[in-house]
Amino acid sequence: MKYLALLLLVPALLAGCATTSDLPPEDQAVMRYDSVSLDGRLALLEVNRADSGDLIRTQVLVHNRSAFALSYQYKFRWYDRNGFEIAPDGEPWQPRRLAGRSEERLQGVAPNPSAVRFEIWVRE
Amino acid sequence: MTRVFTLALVVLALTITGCTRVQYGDATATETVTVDFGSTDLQMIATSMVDDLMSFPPVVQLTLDRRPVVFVDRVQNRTVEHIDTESVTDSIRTRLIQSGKFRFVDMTVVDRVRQQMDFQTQSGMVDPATAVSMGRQIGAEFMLYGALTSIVKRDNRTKDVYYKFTLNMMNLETGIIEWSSEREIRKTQSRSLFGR
Repeated sequence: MKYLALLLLVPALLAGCATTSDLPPEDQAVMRYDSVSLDGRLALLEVNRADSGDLIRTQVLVHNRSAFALSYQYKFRWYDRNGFEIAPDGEPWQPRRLAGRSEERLQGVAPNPSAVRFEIWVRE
Repeated sequence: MTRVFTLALVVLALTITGCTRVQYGDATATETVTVDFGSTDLQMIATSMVDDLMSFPPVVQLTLDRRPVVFVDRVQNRTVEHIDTESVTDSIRTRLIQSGKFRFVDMTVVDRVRQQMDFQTQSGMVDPATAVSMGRQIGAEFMLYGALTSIVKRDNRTKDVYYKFTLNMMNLETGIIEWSSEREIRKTQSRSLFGR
């Protein structure tokens, strides 16, 4: 019985208190998971956009739902109005380490004025 | 007979496991082989510098309706490692050109350009109507220059490296630094108790 309780406790500790996403519909597809294991552990809380001249600038707020520190990588992918990815090999995967139950903001700037849409990809 | 068979099996196993395997990888993947300066550091610095430059309000204003001409001076390597800092500035320059916001002059090829121009104007082999005119190159308005520094600390089990990349953009006419940015990277390598 003790083991059963422990088995139930561990996933709960890993997943933490999952908050329901209040993101507007257009922002819900911004975060893409390259590693399935991150889905549920790293959540997107907020997406901000601003124009720097004719370039899109974005800042996204991510939250580690787990109680443990999380090492992950991210990169922004930018698309033009025809859906073509701009400079597909231009953005590197950037390593990050986020403490348990904490949040951080990741920032990106469009590589050129033809970008109209972006995604943030994350993986372990 | 059994001994020969066993020996053959061992040789076969060694041959199979000893084969060299070559495979292509993702050039943008995070590289953590050692704490030394690597491809991920180079790419992160280039991305960070370009993002910062292109979103700096005075630079945004400057590049709204024109493409300033810039030249890249060298980035001083003040670390204890041998680092090809030109590779970092090459990546920054490429990203800036692809942004459509800046144009660059390349001082590293001046001698070869002069040779080619001399050939066009003095060799008598080039139709003068198609030869490029001398003295019509555009002077740079801004200069990019910077430094890469590091602090390394270690004990028996841990090596900690801190890199700081600083890049400045100076207005060549006024001498004013119009933009400056820093990117810091910290990498730590720990050896396990029983590992080597």
